Amino acid sequence: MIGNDIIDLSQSVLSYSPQRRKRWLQKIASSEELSLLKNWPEQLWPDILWAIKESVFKCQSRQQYSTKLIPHHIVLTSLHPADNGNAHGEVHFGSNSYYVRLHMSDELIHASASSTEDVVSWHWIKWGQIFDADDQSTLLRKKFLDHLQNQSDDIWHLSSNQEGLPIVSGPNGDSDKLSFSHHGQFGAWAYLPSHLFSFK
Amino acid sequence: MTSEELKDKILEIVTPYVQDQEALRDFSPETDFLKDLKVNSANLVDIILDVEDEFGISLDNEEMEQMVTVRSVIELLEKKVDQR
Repeated sequence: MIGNDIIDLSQSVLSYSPQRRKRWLQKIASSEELSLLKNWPEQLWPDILWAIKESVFKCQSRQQYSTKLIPHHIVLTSLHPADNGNAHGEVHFGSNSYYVRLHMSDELIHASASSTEDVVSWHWIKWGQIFDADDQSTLLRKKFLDHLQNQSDDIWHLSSNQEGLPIVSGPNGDSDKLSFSHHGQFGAWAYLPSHLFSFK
Repeated sequence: MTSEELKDKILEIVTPYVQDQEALRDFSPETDFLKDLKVNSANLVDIILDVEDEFGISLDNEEMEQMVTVRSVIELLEKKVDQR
């Protein structure tokens, strides 16, 4: 299972007043989780934690779809800084464990989550302008198909399951190891290439 | 406040977070914030903070979890506001 989430920091909790940001964070974080974020600036904690939890929520949605707001069920248990604004960690959600990878820049935070340690391919795009959400979603899917086409000349097709979650079909069959996300000026995808290209 | 007045107040709170204003035309107790209004899930936290501010209440994790549809928020508010 794969999930990802991208946050445009110009339109995020970062722009809230310190008081509102603190209340917002209290709604999604435990004190144990906050202690894991000490390597990062405090004003980014809500966005970092949200991106991580939302990416895991999307993973879990492949198994059990829900529209409930349940950040307190999604528990960050480790987060380690790496080079170039990256970090990696682990999250527990019920009886499942997920691996999370985080990328941060001055403009965005991106998190991807997977249920295995397989290599996750992810990519983000900055739009030249702000589109409405439906247009962003359409453009992002088109860009992803272009990306696959660049990897292989096969015919690729995107569809959705009954909950609206994406499925990609190619020469080796279908894969649901795929996730899209968009927010503000940015769109992103994450997928497991091994599921698409394993028999090539 | 009646259920209808609570529904109107909830509509007022969620409107700034709904990108597709057309989706608000069918706003009813059955409306699901994520599925029907396509509210960005992070904005659900904002809606909860705004509900707390508007009604002078505090919502815990279990109550947050219940807030899926407009009806679920109306029922929660009827209970919480009575308890004040």
